Amino acid sequence: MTADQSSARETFKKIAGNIARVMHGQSAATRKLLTALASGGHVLLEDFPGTGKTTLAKALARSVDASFKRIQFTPDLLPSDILGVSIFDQRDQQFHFHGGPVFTNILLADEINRASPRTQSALLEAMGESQVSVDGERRNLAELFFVIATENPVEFRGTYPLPEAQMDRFAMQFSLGYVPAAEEVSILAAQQHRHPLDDLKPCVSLSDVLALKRAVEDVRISDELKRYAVDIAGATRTAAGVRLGASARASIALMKSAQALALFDGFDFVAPEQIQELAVAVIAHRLVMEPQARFSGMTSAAMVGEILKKLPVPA
Amino acid sequence: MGATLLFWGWQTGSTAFFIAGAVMGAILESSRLFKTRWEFSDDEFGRVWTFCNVLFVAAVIFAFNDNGGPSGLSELFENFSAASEHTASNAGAMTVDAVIRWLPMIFFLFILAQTFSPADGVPLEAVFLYLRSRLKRARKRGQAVPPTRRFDASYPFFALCLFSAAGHTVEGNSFYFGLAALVSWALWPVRSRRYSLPIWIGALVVAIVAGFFGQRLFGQLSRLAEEYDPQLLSYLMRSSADPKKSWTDIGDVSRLKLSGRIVVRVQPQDGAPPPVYLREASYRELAESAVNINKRIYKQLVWDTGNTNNEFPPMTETPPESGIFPLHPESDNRSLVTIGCYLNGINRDDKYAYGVLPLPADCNRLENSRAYFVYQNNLGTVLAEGPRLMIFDACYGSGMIRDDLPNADESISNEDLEVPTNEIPAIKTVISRLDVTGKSDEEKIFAVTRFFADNFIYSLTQENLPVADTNDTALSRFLLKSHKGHCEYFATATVLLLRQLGIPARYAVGFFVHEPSGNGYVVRQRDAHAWCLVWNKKKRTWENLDTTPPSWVATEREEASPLEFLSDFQSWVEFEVLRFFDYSHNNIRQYIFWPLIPALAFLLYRIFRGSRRHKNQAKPAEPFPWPGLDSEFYRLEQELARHGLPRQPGEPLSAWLQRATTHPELSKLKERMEKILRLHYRYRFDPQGLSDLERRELRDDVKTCLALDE
Repeated sequence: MTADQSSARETFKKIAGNIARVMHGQSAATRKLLTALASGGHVLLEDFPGTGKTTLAKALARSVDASFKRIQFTPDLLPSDILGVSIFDQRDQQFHFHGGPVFTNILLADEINRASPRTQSALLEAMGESQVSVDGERRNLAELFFVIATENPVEFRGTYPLPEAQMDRFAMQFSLGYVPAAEEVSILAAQQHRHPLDDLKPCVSLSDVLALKRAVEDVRISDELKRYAVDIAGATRTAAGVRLGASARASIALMKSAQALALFDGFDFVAPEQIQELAVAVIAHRLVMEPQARFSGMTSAAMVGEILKKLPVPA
Repeated sequence: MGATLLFWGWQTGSTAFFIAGAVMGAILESSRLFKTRWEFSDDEFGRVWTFCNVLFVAAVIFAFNDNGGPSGLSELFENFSAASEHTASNAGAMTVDAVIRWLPMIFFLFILAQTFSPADGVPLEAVFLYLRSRLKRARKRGQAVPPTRRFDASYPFFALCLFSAAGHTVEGNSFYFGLAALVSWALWPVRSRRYSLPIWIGALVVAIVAGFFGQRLFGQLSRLAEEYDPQLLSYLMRSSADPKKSWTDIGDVSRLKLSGRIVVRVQPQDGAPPPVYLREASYRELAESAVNINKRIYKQLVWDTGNTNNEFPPMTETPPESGIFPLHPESDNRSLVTIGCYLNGINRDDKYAYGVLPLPADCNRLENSRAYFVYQNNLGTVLAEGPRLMIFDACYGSGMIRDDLPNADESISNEDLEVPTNEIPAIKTVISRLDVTGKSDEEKIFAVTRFFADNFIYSLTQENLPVADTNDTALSRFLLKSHKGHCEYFATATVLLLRQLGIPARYAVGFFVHEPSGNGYVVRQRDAHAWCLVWNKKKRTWENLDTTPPSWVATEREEASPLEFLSDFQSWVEFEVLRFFDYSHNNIRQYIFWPLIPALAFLLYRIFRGSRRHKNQAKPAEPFPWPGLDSEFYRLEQELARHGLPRQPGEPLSAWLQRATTHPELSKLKERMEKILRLHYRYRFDPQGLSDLERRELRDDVKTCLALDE
């Protein structure tokens, strides 16, 4: 491991340790979140209310000494509320651009499925190309731009499911799930007097995170494992019950996040385990299932899991 | 593209080529009709390219064979002579010619592959070996594969066709206009849309017209240059001294150009002074000749051996193979000089270089000569055939001359006393001024010498004066008006004056030796000289008489380039190389090509090995040959599977090992096996792989693990 990679791994550990002080029993989710952060992808957290989605996002934002904005998505939210708006200044008779919350390092898009598709789409360009076009003018976003979106799977009324194109732009989707009872007790104990989130201090700087992203790019991956990632994505395209399979963007995201996870685990090259671990989070949300398969209880996550079992893993 | 091939077939000239061009053009253009396409991988493009190149080499070899190359070449190796060199170079030229003509056919397959492949263009890796190897290296190391750049091979092929067609053009302007039409056609799709069509066409027409007249102008310029300086041409036309004729530069030549090239090297033996005059030939008869250069007539005086001296009987080498050629029965020699000169002429009938040898007047023997044949006429001119560089020892100093005597018989016309009729008036005018009636021969000669020394200067230039009347010849202008000229004027005038005075005289050409270099002397082209031979009745011998003012040496040296030392060095290298090849006693020349053979063999080996590898790669290899599949870890896996712990196909090794080591018997091996797994993973999935040491460690660990398991 090179010095850069070692220090990058230190950064990983520091953030993970910091988050663990708030999020009890969620180390697997933390791993995935940090993996996405380091590989330059965006994350969609889908879980029931009260499982700690927002807390996890806030904990990450507090741990990194970077700017953090939060948008609460509501049905009446407009694209200009996200991107910003030019306002006429009476004094100097000119328009001035007032950047929206998208001009930040870490953006929490809370309950993203509550806003109209038009507003959701405003995030598309920002997430895909790390730039926004307002009033016909292109504005670049910060070098570190990480979107954590959350959504609630149980509600249907007053929500707008995310368009497939938007889903494809999230590198990963995962859920937190309920923690075991013992962990939950410790959460209660921690919050008896005050929320531990308030005491959280930044432990790494913005430049540390950027160095981490660069170090991830240097993690080696063999052709065989690239082929494995491609094969997994390819298998979803031909699998029965899947209407829309995973794109090449999916296999790219899988490779990049596997590189980040390898670094997290202290390797300077990618092993098949990392690909397997991330495959469901990276691929499942991109699939569109046939209605019959859906009604027979097949989910896309289960479909990817099955593919992982069937496909011979390089050993 | 099809039109270009057709054009190539037409310009190349023969029917067969025309048909070939038409067929190839039709095949290429048929791609517009048929929509069938073949998928060519980049590697296959590479192989097609290699094939075309092999075809190219084969074509070169075939053409070489066809044009008598090998025999010429082998002759060149075995029997190095100017003629075989000539044959070999001729074969080389014909080979190049034929191959250029075939070029479009050779690379047709490549362009066909591009035309019938759905890809737009050919990958650069197919053509450039360096890029190909870079790609391979990158693949092997698992680095990011550099992006393949593609190019459209049809434009280079288009240029190739035109180049090939240019080699063999049909007479006339059809090639230029055909070329212009094709190029404009090719430029049409890529024209700039910024300018309107009329402007584009106008610019194209201007370019074509400018090109046409430019090319015409170039031809005219070169013709103009030739007219300006006919000396240039006459110099080119006359490569070495002609034993039968000497074209003088007396006449319409305005300026002499003399080169400082070293043509003869003289090395006197025993520190003796060198012979001052090295004679190449002497002549008896003067005539005027008209030369037609580019439709302009130039008059020049020509010295000629005369009617009776055209025979060159061969001299016998005595004893044979000794390198000794007696030129005169008298063998009393006082001095020896080593002379090196070049034989510049190539006799088409014979196989060797030939040329006139510059010799001292009384040389009567050649020693250590490598000449194959030596001939001599009765004017003492010696012709030799042999290697291009002749080095020999000339024995001289006997005082016995080889020239025959002036005609004693009064009844036949004595060529040594003949003066051309149109020169007589001027000669007589001069003689009337000399006042030599009734004086002895010595006094007459002295008067003539004085006449030139007192009234004439040496000059390399002549004014072109308009011709006044029929008796106004170049020589009369020199004698009566300009009083200046170069050595040929002086020598010719002296000969004619003496003849008119009744003294037999001849015209001699050769070299004037005066420039020391090292412990010998060098003679340059500009030291070429002309003088006259006067018959000495008392001694019954021919004597040298040089009436040219001695300042000529200095005048000509002024013409020398300041960079002459460079050409001297080159000349020295050439001399030494030729001497090494021709005069070293071993036959090194034959062995010099031996080292080439392993080099060629290596190249062939590379090609074949490369092609075999291509074949392997071309097979749809499934499963892919991944690195590290020879890891010993698999033995461990098989062993555990035998013990009832098989791994599921989708189960990664670490998960499987975790499961396996929960087995009580294996738990003690857990740490060791995890270490093996780490090494195995690095061996398999780290593109950097394992070091030799770690590889051994993996092997040994698996062994001990298996042993423990037993």
